[in-house]
Amino acid sequence: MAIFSPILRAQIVKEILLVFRDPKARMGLIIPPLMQLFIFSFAVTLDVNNVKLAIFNQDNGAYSQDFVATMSHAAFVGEIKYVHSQSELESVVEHGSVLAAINIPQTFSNDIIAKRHAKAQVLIDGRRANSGQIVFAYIQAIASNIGASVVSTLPKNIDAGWVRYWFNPALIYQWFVVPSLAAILVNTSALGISALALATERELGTFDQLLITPANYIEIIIAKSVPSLLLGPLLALFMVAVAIFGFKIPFTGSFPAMLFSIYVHVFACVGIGLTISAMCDTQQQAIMGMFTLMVPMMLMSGFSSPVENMPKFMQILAEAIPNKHVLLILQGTFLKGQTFVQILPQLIPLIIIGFVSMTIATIIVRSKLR
Amino acid sequence: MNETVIINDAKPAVEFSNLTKTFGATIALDNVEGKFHAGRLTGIVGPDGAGKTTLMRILATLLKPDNGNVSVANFDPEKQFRDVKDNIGYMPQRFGLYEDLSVMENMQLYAKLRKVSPKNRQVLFDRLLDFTRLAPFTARLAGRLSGGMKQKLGLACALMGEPKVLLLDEPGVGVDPVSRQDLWRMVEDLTSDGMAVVWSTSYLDEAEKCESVMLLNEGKVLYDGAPQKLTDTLEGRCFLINGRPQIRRQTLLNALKLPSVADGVIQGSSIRIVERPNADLTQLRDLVKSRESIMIPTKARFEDAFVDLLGGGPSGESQLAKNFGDVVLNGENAVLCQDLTKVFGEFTATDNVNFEVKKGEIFGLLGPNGAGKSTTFKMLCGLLQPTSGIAKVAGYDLRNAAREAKSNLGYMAQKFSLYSILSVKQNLEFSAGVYGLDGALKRDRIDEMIEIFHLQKYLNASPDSLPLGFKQRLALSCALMHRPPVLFLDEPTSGVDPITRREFWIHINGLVERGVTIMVTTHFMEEAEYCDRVAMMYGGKLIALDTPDELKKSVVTKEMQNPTMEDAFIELIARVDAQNAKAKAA
Repeated sequence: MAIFSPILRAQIVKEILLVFRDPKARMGLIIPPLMQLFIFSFAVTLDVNNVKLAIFNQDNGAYSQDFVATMSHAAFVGEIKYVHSQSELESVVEHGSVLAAINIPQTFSNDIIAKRHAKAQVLIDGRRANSGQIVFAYIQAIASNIGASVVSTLPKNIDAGWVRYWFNPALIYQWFVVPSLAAILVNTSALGISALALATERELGTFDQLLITPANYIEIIIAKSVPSLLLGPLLALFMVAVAIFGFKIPFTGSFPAMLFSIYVHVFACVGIGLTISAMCDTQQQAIMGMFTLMVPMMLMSGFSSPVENMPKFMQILAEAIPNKHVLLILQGTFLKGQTFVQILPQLIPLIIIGFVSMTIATIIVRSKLR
Repeated sequence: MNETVIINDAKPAVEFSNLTKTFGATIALDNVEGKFHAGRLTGIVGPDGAGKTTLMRILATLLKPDNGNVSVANFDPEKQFRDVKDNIGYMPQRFGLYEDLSVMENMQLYAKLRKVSPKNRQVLFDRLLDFTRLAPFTARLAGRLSGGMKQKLGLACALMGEPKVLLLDEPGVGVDPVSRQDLWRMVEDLTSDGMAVVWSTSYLDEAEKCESVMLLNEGKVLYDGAPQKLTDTLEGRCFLINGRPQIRRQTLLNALKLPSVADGVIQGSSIRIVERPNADLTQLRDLVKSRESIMIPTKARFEDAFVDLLGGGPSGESQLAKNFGDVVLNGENAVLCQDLTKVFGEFTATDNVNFEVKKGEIFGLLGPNGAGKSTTFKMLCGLLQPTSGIAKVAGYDLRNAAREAKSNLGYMAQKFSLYSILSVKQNLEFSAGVYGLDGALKRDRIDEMIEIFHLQKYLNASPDSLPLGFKQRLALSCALMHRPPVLFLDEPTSGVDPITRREFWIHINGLVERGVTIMVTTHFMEEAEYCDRVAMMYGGKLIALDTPDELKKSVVTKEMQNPTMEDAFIELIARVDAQNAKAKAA
């Protein structure tokens, strides 16, 4: 600590004390992580079960029989409705009575025997795109086992790698979610602490007092970032430890690369939080501002629904969300064995977001003094 | 008013006895009793924390007393609270105006809440608007009104149900003397209509204007009756010492050490002394003689009587000033404003202001709300960038040497900007550190403050839990540990009892002797008298700059032979208004 000037050091100590001495703030740091851990890893599940399917089987060959039989025994299927025309097939999807409908063409078995490209069509209820996509992946896997393939009407652009991770239910779901929670937790805590940081002082009247001291804007911003930079990685490491030791999720990539990314992620979140805080005059406004940003940041991060399914402009917007990048880094370093070099495409945008948001926060704090 | 003796045989409008209220370990009201009569203005007077608000809230049925009997307009607040509510108007310190509604919408809302029948509303509104002189502003949002206008609107809304008893909780706080005068005029009209008006205040000069006063301190009634009667007990014991204004602070310090002196303060270029009853004045006379000054008897004030009632003011030297060391200043002027201007959009908040403050001077900045004095103050502290002109502190230009300028100033506000989450010790450590103190020097300065201000037993407490006097000491410590040559005081003692205020000014006077320069803003005219020079601002401009005595002298007329600082304030502004009106007409 001796490398800092006494002016900066005094502020850093103050910021840390402000966060840790406030009983409300302390509770806010402990309860949400635990809640998120339990809710996301046990209660909420992205696995799809008890699915209703419709099948229009125009082929009586052995392979189509096998395909249908495998499907009817698959764990994710609840009920199969057999229909007898293409129009009936379309209407059951349209009415929402099934999630997906499969049209097996007459040539299905013959194509497989002849080693031609055997295809079945899958109609998916686009209103339930998320579960539909997961179910499509299941169906695809079954089809490929018998040497056929399926094509869907909706949604498009399925990423093969993504589907691969989703297959093998029950286990993989947590393999995906628990490491991701590390990023989500950092996001909530860093955003929460920093969004309140300046607004609280302004509301309580200590901000003017701070600005009268010789402390400059850069020092104020640095000091305000420290509690999150200390705490965020700790929370993330806690979640990573839970993932590795609690859920026995294999960590296959570069640990230092992941840890570094976490720090950059905190930095980016603090920048966004301080930008909110710099614009708000009261704690209430800051909390409102925080939630206004946090919900879309979560939804668009790819945590609950794939970014690839969003409209193009949303995908571009998602590039500005730190969660999006850090989730890919976490999945990559945990499951895909990625190294420092391999995560660079995600790390660089994360660093840019951090610097841009920090700069905006500093500019706003300064401009408030004009 | 003081001459009118009111004989009232009727049952009082408000009556209470054996009234006790505690909050945890704090005794807010301790066995209090009193009577407030109809057609009379009663002042509840006392420092912050004396129990004024608690008493008001009990009378307004918002709090239940632990013990005691209360009757308001002949109703029992506990059993007949609806009847009480229908018969009272209550204006809390922060009146519940809806800032996003217009003046008229606020009035309509309160009319509905007070169940004023629609056909009577217009007549009532017209009367209240005329009464408060708010008629030109009915369409303005309440949030955009000035502090004084907000209070007037609050008063109009509180008067909506035509109450028999009107309770006003510190209506004068944060309101400049001009608006305060307006409020007084309105309240006097109301009492002459037969309403019982209760006005709570921590300003003792306001108390002097009430027909009857209840003096509260630490939950106990110290005095109940006409203020003049209390003041009369001091007849012949008050003196002004005139002569050598340059050394008046030292003379005061020496005088306060004498056992015969109960109280003493600076008043303009004189010293005001209250002697103890039947005291031997030889020592005092010798002192006055040795300072080539003269001592003349003067009229007692209510504040003198209050301090005397509490056993006299504090005395002694400021240990703080003793340790402070002599100030060395970079350049001649401690503070300099040159053509200082600040424009917000279309509005010029500070308009070409020029003044310089010499080393070791106490310089006051006065003016009504919105006159531009806080904008000027903020530019001098580096909280705002001037649009044009120069602001210098201790020789450093705030524009290009902000860090040096800021290191050379200390700042203390009554709204003590301390961190309530941090302990007292941690607040001291933060303040010392953020002004660049480090290592042994930092430890020494902190220990010094703890010792001088007796903060030892509060070190681990939150500043919020401290008694007001200690809070003020802590705020002063935090502002002074880096020993700044210039100290800014932003309404430093509003709401503070006179004893604590005197203690505070003993330190300030001591620091001035050491060469510290003081800049002070205040709404409190008593405090303006402590200044060497006072700058009056109005409409963003500097309208007068002189010693308090000269300012008072400048408004002497045949009708007003002996104007107070408040009279001077009001008159100087009225002159500018008249001039502007003339210019407009021409």
